[in-house]
Amino acid sequence: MNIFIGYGMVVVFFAVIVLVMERSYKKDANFTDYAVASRSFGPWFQSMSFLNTWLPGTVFISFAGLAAGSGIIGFYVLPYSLLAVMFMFMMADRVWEWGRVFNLRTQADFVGMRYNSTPVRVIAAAVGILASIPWLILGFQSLGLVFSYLSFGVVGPVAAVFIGIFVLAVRQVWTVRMGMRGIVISDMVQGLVAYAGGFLLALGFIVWLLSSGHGFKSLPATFWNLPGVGSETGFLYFFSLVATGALGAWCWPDIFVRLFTAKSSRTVKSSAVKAAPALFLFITALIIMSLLAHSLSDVAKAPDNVWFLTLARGGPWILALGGVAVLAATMGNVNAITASVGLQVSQDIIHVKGTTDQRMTRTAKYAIAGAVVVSVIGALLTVNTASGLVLLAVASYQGIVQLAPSLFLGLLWRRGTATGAAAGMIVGFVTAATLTFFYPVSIPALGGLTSGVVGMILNTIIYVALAYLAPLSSSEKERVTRLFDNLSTFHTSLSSDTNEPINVRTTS
Amino acid sequence: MTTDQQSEYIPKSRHSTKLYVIAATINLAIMLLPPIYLGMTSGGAALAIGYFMGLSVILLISLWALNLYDSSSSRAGSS
Repeated sequence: MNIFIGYGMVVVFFAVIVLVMERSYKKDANFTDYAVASRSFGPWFQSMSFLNTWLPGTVFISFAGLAAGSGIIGFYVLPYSLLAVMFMFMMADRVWEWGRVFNLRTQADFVGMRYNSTPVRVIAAAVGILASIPWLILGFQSLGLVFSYLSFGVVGPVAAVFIGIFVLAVRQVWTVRMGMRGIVISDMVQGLVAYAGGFLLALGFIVWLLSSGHGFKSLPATFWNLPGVGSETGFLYFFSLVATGALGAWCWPDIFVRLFTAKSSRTVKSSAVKAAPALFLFITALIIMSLLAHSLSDVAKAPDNVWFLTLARGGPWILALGGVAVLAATMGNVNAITASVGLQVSQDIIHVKGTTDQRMTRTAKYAIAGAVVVSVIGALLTVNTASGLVLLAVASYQGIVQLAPSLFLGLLWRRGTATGAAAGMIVGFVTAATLTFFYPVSIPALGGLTSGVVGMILNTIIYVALAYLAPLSSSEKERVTRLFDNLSTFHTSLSSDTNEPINVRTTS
Repeated sequence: MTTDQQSEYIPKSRHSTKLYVIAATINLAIMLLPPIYLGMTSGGAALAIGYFMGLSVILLISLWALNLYDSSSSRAGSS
């Protein structure tokens, strides 16, 4: 009987999403309309679109699980999220302006333009895609938990993953049909359900936990310590987690593309100011609830299931609401990742020299299907994991942060070269991947630095060194000077068929 | 077939390097200092949660201040 409550609520939620998308459907005029909704959204939609992409369903599982299992370190997601928003603010002007003038659609497109280099574009796309796969695994894993718990014991974990895939596959019909416009509009509804609904549920259970003998005093003293000097993980571990999180935030292709969907750079900044308090309230409530729930015996044994195990105490309707919140968060994030993976594989790797819109779209769909297959296999392999899932997320950050030197220094410093960017990314990624294999958590001999930080340091040294050892040619120096100081001097060609700007830049 | 035309978009560069350097330095200090302190003492839930709340408030205020500065700069630039 309870399965009808759980799955019934999912059906109702799904129907609302489809209704909203159908009523707001507008045929795409061209590929830019499809890829970035012609840069048309205002601050509220931008803000929720960012949140629905930034806070995936796994925040209720792996991040809440970290707090429930390990204590206060689970709060690290808060400072790095707020720092990411601050970086969004700082980057907005230049990224949006360059994006508009050159009709940029992806992050790889952006760095390719900045360095006037196809190899840089391809490498950036490859790093972004590889690092995104663990988040897809976590996304499908989240769905598996949702459909398992909402079945109230009827559906096992493996079958639940396949039900989740089916639901997402059906959802993809509208994603593929409506493009970025559909994603941003549905993000608003999904975001309200996930984060406003999630916040209220978390707040309610904080009150319940505090009033039923599960207060802060029932938690172990070690819960309140961060790794400091002399600790096993090292005193630089917390710094590494926050630094790779904050710097890595805008290296995610699906997050970065959000900067291109706004109608102006002022809109991007306004959305940052709106998103920050929402992030603060939601994450604070979720993490405090998870900390307190550690004293529940079943949560202590399976901390990654803290959200479902705690909400189950409120009865089937409450658990169903909580499950829908996770589903809403997951749908937004998985949609964004698959769309960006598909687009980057197609536009920035396979068809980097250009092709028709039809071929690009077809290739993107195949790429999405391939990424889904790989991620589903990963989700099935981790389906019975009840703790430590956050390590997948942390590991992926070590890879994606290798885009940070080229991206951020490319925005701030004129001397950076394509050679430095390419070499830095490759060395950084290989270093991070190798060190992660031997030191999956932190490197004790380096005070607790993570593999990603070490990779990023090497990456930056190479980037800066090559800027001086093999500097820009005079023509490239002139182009970069105009890029920074006099954007209006770039000629923009307009296609007479679509009236859409076409990049006028040479790539090597 | 294409038509070449000069881009009509004129960028308004409002980067304030000094402000961003100050903000970045504060952020870096915030990230580096706490574990050294919190790892060496055991101040319990109040200190630990209080630290994260205080840190968040500082970051929120920084963001709002940046936004205020940016808004007033753009209003001054367009008047």
